[in-house]
Amino acid sequence: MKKIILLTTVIFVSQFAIAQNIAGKLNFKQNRVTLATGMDYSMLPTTIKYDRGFNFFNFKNPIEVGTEITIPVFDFDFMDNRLKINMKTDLWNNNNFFVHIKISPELVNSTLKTQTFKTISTEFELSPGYANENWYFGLEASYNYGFATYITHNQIFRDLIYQNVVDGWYKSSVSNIKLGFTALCSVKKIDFYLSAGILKTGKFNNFLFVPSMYGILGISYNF
Amino acid sequence: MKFKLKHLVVVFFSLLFLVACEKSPNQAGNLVPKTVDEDPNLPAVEVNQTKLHLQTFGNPDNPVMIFLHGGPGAGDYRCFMRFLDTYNGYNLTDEYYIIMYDQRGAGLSRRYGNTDVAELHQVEELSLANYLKDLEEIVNIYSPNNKVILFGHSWGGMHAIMYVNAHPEKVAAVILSEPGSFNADIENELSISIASTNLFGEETNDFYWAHQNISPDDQNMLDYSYMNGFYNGLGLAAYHFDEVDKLPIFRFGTVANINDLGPDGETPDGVFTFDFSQNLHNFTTKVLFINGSLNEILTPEFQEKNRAFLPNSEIKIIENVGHDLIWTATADHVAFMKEYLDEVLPTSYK
Repeated sequence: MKKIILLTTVIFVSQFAIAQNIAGKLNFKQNRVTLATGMDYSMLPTTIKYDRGFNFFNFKNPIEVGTEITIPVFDFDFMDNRLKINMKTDLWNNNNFFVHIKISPELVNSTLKTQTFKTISTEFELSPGYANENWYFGLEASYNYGFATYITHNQIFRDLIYQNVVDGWYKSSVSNIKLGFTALCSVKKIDFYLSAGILKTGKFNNFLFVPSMYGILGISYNF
Repeated sequence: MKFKLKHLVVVFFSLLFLVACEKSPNQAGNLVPKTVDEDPNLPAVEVNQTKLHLQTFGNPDNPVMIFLHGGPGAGDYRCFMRFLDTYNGYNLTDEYYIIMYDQRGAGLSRRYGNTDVAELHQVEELSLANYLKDLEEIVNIYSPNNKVILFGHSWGGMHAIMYVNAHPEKVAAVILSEPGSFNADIENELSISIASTNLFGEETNDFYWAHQNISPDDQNMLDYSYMNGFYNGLGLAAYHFDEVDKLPIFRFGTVANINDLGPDGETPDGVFTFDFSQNLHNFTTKVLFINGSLNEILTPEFQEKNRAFLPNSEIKIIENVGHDLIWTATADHVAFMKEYLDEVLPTSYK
């Protein structure tokens, strides 16, 4: 009987250990949904994410794959949106220290009064940090590069500004750099996080008229 | 295997398309018009070691009237095009030889500097001294022996007064449409709090969001982005620009606009230091001010501070127009100008 109890305990604890999370990271087959907002290329946009831990290519660390959609709340008409596919894994880890890499192909749609943009881009992120069961802190550096942007201008633009503007595909119309941090606190299955930092163009210029910074508050549920 | 190969082919040709078939946003002529440096067919003049987009209208034998646009950088002479139309059977070109030009760094004239230096107001080429020298040389080319008539709107009004202050003997008449301050004391008092961006406004957020599509990283992209901002509602609400009959432009000059009055007009911290008023007492000809009633910044009351330096002046108010009054109320301007010029110009001059 003692053996049975001992064996059951060992199996239970080992299962618990397998299932136990390092804060902010997904294990194999674990899922996470996230709701976030803040200052992210607009004020108080809504971001909804889903991620899942996979074991691809027998890589030693789980690879988090997910998708997200972000919609600015002003003029809420789905004409402005950002769709992302996120792939993230630890490039290196040692005890609780890690360096993770994230690659996110994305499509950004913007509709202004005088033109529309559709940009195909990819964000590359490198983040060194520290995490335990309850919290996580990482620095983050990301570079977003737009490979191609489809631009169309309406008659208002042509009448008021430039009659001969050329519509169509443009290469390399955008690049942005983020330098900042993420702090995350994990309470049972729920994570709260804050990401913040500076946001500049790819040539490290300030944005025109609007703040060159970002700050995102999010809440995630892991299951 | 077939499945993978098919997808690889699709990816390969997609990439080939992206690399080979696209246009460059940095090439002038695609998203923004070319400047005089890129298009030799544009009407231009070379003065003071720069090249300016300039056009003349009317009979060269008539008295010269020079139009000075607002900004710096946030305007060009396209905003004056309605002054070439006929109103009540009268056309300015019947009596005057009109010269319109884009100031350096603005419109289709030559570009200078970058935003890093401009944010500190230190782009040397875009200095008050150079703006003045450009106008001096234009006057010397088109009216070497006679006085000129100056028309200035907003910053262009300040520009005109800068010239009057330096060369009162060369000016026959001055018309100022909602001019800015004549000296730093007035400008430093001018409240700009109402000019701040509304971060929670729809227009601001649309423009913010589009920073994921366009990066303002060179002169072409800067000017394109700036135009997107202005024509999508980021113009100052307190200026009351017309939402329907919008002011057109050839091309914004972003660096010139950020640089503002430049190294000899402003400190890196944005404290104004210029003074165009010290010699104005030497200019005794009557000056015409024209103001809209809606502008909350350059109000008729504000203009009284400027008029204190020009006791011989008159102000005309046009009701229900904002700072774009040169475009939305051109007929009123022309009527006021004709009446004023008939009064102040000697018959022999005309």
